[in-house]
Amino acid sequence: MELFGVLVPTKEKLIATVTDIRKGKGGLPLYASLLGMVVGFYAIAAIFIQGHAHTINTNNLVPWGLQITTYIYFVLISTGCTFVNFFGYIFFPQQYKPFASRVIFLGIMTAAAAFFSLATEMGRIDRMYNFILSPNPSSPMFWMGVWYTCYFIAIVMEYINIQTNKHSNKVMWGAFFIAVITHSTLGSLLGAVSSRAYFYSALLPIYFLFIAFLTGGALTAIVAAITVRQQKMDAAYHLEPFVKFLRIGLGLALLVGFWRTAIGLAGHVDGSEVFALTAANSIIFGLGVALIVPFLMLRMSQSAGWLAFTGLFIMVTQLKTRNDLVVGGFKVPLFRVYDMPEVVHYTPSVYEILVLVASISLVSVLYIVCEKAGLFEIADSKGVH
Amino acid sequence: MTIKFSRRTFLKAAGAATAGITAATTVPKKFLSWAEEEGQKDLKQIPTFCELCFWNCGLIAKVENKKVVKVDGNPLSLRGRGRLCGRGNAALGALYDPDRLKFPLINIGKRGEPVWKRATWDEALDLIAQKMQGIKQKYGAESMALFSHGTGGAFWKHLLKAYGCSNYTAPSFAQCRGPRDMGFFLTYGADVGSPEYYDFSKSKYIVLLGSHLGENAHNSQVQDIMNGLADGAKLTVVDPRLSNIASKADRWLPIKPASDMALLLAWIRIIIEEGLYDKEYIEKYASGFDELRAAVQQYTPQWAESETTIPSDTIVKVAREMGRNAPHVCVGAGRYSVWYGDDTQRSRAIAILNALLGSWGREGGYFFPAKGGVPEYPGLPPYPPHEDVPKLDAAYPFAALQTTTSIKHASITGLPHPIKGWFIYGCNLMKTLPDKQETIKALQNLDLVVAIDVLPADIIAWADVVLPECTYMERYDNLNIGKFKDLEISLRQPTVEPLWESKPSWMITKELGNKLGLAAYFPWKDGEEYLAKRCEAGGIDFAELKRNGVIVKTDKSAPYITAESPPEFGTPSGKIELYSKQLEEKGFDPVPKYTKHPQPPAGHFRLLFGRASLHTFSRTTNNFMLTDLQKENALWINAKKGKELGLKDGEYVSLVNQDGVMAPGRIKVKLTQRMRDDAVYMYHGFGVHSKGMTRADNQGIADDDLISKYVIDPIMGGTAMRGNFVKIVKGA
Amino acid sequence: MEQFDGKDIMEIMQSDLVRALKKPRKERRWAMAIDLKKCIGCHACTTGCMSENLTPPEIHYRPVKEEEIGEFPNTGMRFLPRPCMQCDSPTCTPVCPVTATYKRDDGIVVIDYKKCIGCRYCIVACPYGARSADAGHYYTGDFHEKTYEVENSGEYGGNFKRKSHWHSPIGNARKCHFCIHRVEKGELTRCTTTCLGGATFFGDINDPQALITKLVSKPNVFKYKEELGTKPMVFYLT
Ligand SMILES: Nc1nc2c(c(=O)[nH]1)N[C@H]1C(S)=C(S)[C@@H](COP(=O)(O)OP(=O)(O)OC[C@H]3O[C@@H](n4cnc5c(=O)[nH]c(N)nc54)[C@H](O)[C@@H]3O)O[C@H]1N2
Ligand SMILES: Nc1nc2c(c(=O)[nH]1)N[C@H]1C(S)=C(S)[C@@H](COP(=O)(O)OP(=O)(O)OC[C@H]3O[C@@H](n4cnc5c(=O)[nH]c(N)nc54)[C@H](O)[C@@H]3O)O[C@H]1N2
Ligand code: SF4
Ligand code: SF4
Ligand code: SF4
Ligand code: SF4
Ligand code: SF4
Ligand SMILES: [Mo]
Repeated sequence: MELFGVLVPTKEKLIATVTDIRKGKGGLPLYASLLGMVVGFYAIAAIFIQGHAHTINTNNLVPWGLQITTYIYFVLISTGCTFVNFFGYIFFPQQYKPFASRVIFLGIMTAAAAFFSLATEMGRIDRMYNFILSPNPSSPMFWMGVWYTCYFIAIVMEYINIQTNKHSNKVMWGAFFIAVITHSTLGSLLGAVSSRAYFYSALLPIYFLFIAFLTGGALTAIVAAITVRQQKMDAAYHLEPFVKFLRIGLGLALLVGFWRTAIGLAGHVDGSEVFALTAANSIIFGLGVALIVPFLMLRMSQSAGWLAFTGLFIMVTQLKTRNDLVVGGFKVPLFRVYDMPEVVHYTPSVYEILVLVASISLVSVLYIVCEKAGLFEIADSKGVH
Repeated sequence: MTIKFSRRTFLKAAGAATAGITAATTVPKKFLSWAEEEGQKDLKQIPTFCELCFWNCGLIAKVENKKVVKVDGNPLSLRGRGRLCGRGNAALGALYDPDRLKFPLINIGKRGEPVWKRATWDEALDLIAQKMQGIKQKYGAESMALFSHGTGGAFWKHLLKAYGCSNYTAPSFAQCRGPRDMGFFLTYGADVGSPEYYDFSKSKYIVLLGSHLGENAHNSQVQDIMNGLADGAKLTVVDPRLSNIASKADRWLPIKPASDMALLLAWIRIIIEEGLYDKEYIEKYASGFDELRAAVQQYTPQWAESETTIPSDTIVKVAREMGRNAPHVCVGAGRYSVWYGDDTQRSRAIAILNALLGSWGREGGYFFPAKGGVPEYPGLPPYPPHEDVPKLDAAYPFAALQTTTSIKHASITGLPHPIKGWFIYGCNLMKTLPDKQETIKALQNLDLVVAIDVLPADIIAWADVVLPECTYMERYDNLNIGKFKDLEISLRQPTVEPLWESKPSWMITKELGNKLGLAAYFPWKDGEEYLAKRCEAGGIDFAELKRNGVIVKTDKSAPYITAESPPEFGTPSGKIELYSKQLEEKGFDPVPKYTKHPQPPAGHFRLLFGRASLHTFSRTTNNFMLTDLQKENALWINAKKGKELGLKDGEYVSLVNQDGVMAPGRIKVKLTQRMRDDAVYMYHGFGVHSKGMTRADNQGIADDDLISKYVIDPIMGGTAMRGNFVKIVKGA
Repeated sequence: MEQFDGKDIMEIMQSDLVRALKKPRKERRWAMAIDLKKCIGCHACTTGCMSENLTPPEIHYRPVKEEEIGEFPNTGMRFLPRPCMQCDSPTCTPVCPVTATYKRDDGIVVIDYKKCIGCRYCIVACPYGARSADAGHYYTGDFHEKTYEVENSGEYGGNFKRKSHWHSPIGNARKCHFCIHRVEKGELTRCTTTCLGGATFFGDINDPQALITKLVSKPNVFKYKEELGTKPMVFYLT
């Protein structure tokens, strides 16, 4: 199997693109993302060199913060890409096909970006080998590791298939199911935590799947909208599946989000006061701004530009929603003593924010470069002859 | 359940194994694995004693790599019995505080607005010696004064005596225990000691007024009272606030502040009138019973209810309970006793109450301590005779110890004779003495101010020369003698080398003594030799003391009154003086009387204060292990009252007192069910104003900033500080 | 409690401990009892533990919670010290992806400082807030190398010096471990020996003769958050 021209752009095109970029013809988004990558990687280096004490704002009250948010955010997007690919092929084969390689490429990139963030979060990343040497089958996190590996292999295979025009339904179905398993496992990672009423819920694995579909849909919608414009394709025809996906995604997220909040508010167990504490935010922002507003936005127009904007709106609001979910579990200290606050507030450090920037930039730089180097046209062109 | 803690057995349990103190001997060798084998091969265990407060519990430092890595209690110590309190366990936070004073400093700026110059020890001591000589020439040696608190103070006292000065004072008298000591002394001819001679663990009934044990974390005393309670003792706590110990009490009497005397007098009356007193005991040992009886007739329970807000039937019940359990009753004497100005008299009322119950010298009441001590260093030249100057404390006929009060006044007025130089050893006078403006006035009037401290405390800013003492973990110090039922001698010895250029007091005083031409008074080679010689003179095995940290000499005399050992009272009459002729002669009430104290004006609260279990005054407010748990104080306000005022829990407010003094900084509101609604409460020690104390600076509000008014106890010169009223200002 | 009337409780617990250590490890079951009647809220156990385990800022294995009960003047107080409950059915161990934390056969839930990857999942999962993450803070800032903060506490009998963030336990989860480094040497836990109220008891509840067994078999016992099914091995006496 060829590497250049299949998995990565051809050498000539890559060199040409790099030369263009050097000459300043890369376009603003690319340079911005490159800058983001540089500072982001500086931050990541700083985290490893200086250690968490000097770089990270999480603490005993908030053991997980923005890095875990970022991680969850990106893996869910990745899953979403797999879902979009799957449903695209199944329900809208013609309309969807031109985007397939882009979508799966993004799926791989976002999964990689997620691990970037996770790696900076671990206290002792150098000991990750213990996942193999000393596994714990009862840990959702262990299974997440296992399924993740499978998932990664599956989407890479899917990608190769797409790029080599040997699309196989078996692999696609496989990737879909593995994605479902992997990301519901991720949901269980929080959902199974009985000590935190805010997390503890059978809804959470499902919630994660729906959110994955929504955020994956949003990112791919942006990419599709841009592609449609650049390639001067028939926007209405080609974007239809994405609009549908987004609508379904928003609906599903609203459904599960509403019930999680409603059931949470009805709870009287230790820690369920977080639902009440955060009710205004969950209802107004989490359900209203983040889900109902984009739904209405989609009714206003379905032009490529507007769709891209709506997609971006969803991406941004969902990032905050993810953070609210992760941090929300720690709002009320489990054992409040001494000078501990009654309600815990956590603000990520600059380094944590830069890890997020690094992850976003990584995805966008690689995507833009590969796009410019014609990686995603390979499949199409190969399909022609 | 009977709980005894014998030291011998505890020693096994606490795992404190010095060379001499054997670890659990019954433990098979093979269990002595781990720590020793892997990481802590060279772990040495050095016993010494704690100075995070003045209980001075025995502790054991575990030393490795020339660093103290942890501390444990010394099971041999009578003061701690192998336990350390919340503060004592934080020794490393004191030793390794990066904010410590590191070098001698000379102020080249103005007093109170220092510009520091780092000096060598020679420079600093030369300057002090030169100024001291100047003062001596101009005003006489009696124009110097020493304020001290803590074990090392003894060396400074020695230095001053050798120099020819007799003015050594401690805030722990006129700002603390003085009235209590005098109240008991006037009654029994003896005081209650420190550690107090409470026989709590044997008590059947205990009454505490204030005395918030648990927060007041005096180690063995807390253990004793908890053991007593576990053994079935009943407890009544009188306190406007539900203190920790009040939460363990059978009865909590949330008294109206400043009215304790009414309650005490009513109790005395009930106990007399209902015949609950120990007739035989009173007959045998006391004098003035009839006068007492006549004098308390007016103090009926109903009257006391109107003063104290405690229901009269509760007052009666408690009196009967005391009577029923007599003589195994301990009505605590208190410790911090400078409350409202008639404090010696209040303490006398407590003393009288105990006498009526027959608890002095009785099991479960007050025991008689072991006698004895350790002689001074042999062969020292006699101190020079004191100059003939008027007595500083003449105004306070029963000031058994020099008061800070009159030193302060003499510094300001020059009367009855001038005071021109202060040595301040281990006292944070800015926070300790009432009325800061007055203290500043005194300081501004001096020719020399020397502070010997371990931290850049608030007082440092007012010193001309700052001498960095090394901490208690790094030095030899004076011997510590504890009078329990047995006599305890404990040793402080260095566990590691002093950090930076800090030095122990024995060394600083010796060097300064040499510069003053007083070398003859400092014949010891070093701290160790000083101690060894004294021990030798006292028949104490110094090597054993070094090894074990503590030597306990069992006392053969009985701790309680028996037929063979009748009590002796050091009063003029040789009896318990229920009626005090001594007081009468000096124009004071021979039997305590009730005085009404001012109550807060509308919109104000009485400002009360006390101890945080995790801190000792400002002494520990920079200790990182302790600030990690508690870094600021809070303003306790009755929850209902607070809500009426629209206050929220955790909100920050400022405070202004009756004189319009606004305390710098802000304090967190704590709405609580544990307070009456006419007073607010805060922990003393916080609200430090010193940039150098990076953790303590500006955390919370200082009670001392709001104590602009104080009432002097005319009997012994104590300064009562609980008569200040504050208003809460929102929006800090 | 007549059965130990007149005897020194420390001595009893000490001999109980020695007896337990003579048995094979898996036959022991360490437990703690905390008598809330006797806890006076002095926090000595908190700082004693800090000193024993050389814990860094904000990590306290045994904090003491103060709770007010009732309304003035009928106010009560409860002091609730909280070590790790050493749950028989812990929620922290099943979630550890690398089995770095696990329940030993004597019931103590330990953390393997050589294995832990610092994912903090166990911290999220413990319902008692008994676990902390050691991010590598020092109390003494730049001065830390000259202090005890880089020395070995002897925790778990190992040689762990917090010299940098690549030195465990920095980067790891931490918690109370019933002072096994002391216990296995025949010493009671530090919070037991320093407790001013004499409220803390320790021993092997598999031993019917042990004081702890007698204490916890009384009706006045409760376990904290027992409803979660964690089966705590810390018993509160009321
Ligand atoms: N942890 C810790 N322990 C310490 C110290 C420390 O700094 N920290 N300092 C030590 C020293 S030097 C001393 S002197 C002692 C002091 O400790 P104590 O002698 O116990 O002090 P008190 O003033 O008796 O106690 C303060 C209590 O008195 C109550 N109180 C206030 N006003 C009144 C009143 O009018 N009537 C009555 N009945 N009660 C009132 C307060 O609400 C508070 O609960 O503590 C010693 N122990
Ligand atoms: N407003 C108000 N005033 C009070 C009280 C109160 O509750 N409120 N309490 C009163 C009572 S009870 C007392 S006993 C007095 C106590 O008041 P002080 O006698 O002043 O005692 P501390 O506050 O303990 O003094 C602490 C000083 O000693 C220093 N120090 C600590 N260790 C050492 C050492 O080893 N060597 C040297 N040289 N210095 C050391 C500290 O850094 C600090 O500056 O205060 C009284 N004044
Ligand atoms: S009571 Fe606490 S602070 Fe005071 S000497 Fe003892 S251990 Fe130290
Ligand atoms: S208390 Fe928490 S950390 Fe301890 S064993 Fe139970 S679940 Fe685990
Ligand atoms: S932090 Fe360590 S002990 Fe806790 S779950 Fe992660 S790897 Fe296991
Ligand atoms: S058993 Fe040891 S580790 Fe646990 S709280 Fe007590 S002192 Fe700390
Ligand atoms: S040491 Fe004992 S009495 Fe003090 S807080 Fe801890 S458990 Fe309670
Ligand atoms: Mo005091």
